[in-house]
Amino acid sequence: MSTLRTDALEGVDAKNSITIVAGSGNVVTTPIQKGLIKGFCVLFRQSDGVSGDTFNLSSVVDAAPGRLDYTHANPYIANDGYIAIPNDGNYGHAMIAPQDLTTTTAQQFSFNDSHGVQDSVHQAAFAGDLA
Amino acid sequence: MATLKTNTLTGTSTAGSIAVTGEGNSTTTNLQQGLCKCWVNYTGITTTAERDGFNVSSVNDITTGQTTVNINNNMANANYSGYYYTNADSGTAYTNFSNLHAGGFGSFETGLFKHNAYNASSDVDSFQNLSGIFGDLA
Repeated sequence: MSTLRTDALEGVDAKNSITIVAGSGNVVTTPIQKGLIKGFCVLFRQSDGVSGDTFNLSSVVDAAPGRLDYTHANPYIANDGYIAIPNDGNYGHAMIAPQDLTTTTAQQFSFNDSHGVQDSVHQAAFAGDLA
Repeated sequence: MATLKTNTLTGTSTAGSIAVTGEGNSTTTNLQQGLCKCWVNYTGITTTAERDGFNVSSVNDITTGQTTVNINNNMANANYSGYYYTNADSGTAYTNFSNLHAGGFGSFETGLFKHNAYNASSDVDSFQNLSGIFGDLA
């Protein structure tokens, strides 16, 4: 096994594009940058404000009952130019909805069984194109 | 800081396998396995249309609330994993979502996957559809 040591990767022809052989047949390639998760929030518990590890989020704010506002540290290339992957960390008791994906912010709502907003434990990941 | 400039990375022992050291500096993870292989953000309102995506050749309206996402570079098999969120509401404002909504995968195939948006009473063409898949490329 050979080991290549570096601190950063950069494309030569295009700085933002490096392909990697990734297919099970060892032939098909995929661009690394396109496939990376660009941000995440391990958890934010609204009941007491306890938060877990985050990546590429400058702030996670309890904005209202059942609503969390994320601010991305490094912005995305366009509104709706990425996806949010939400999850309810409270044993799946609440339904979680991501909304309003702008280049710099995203909202996440949680609902109870009666379909009203309700505080919960929010988790999320983000994938897509950075600016 | 050292910066490696290259256009392509290929494993030496196995072309499709490169290990990278984890954040805690004690374990490694597989770079290829950790990449999202396809993601898409689309609307199902009026005309089903992709807003942005990666490794998607097209999104096709099957019928009300049902959509096919065609993959550009196929997956190795149908046993991959995915995530799908829909607001299950035809309203075009971001604050429009059915609080009864549910979204699910209709099927996984090597060259496509299907979505079904449901609002507790019927399938519904939806404004917000976010999805990504993880697994092995062909």
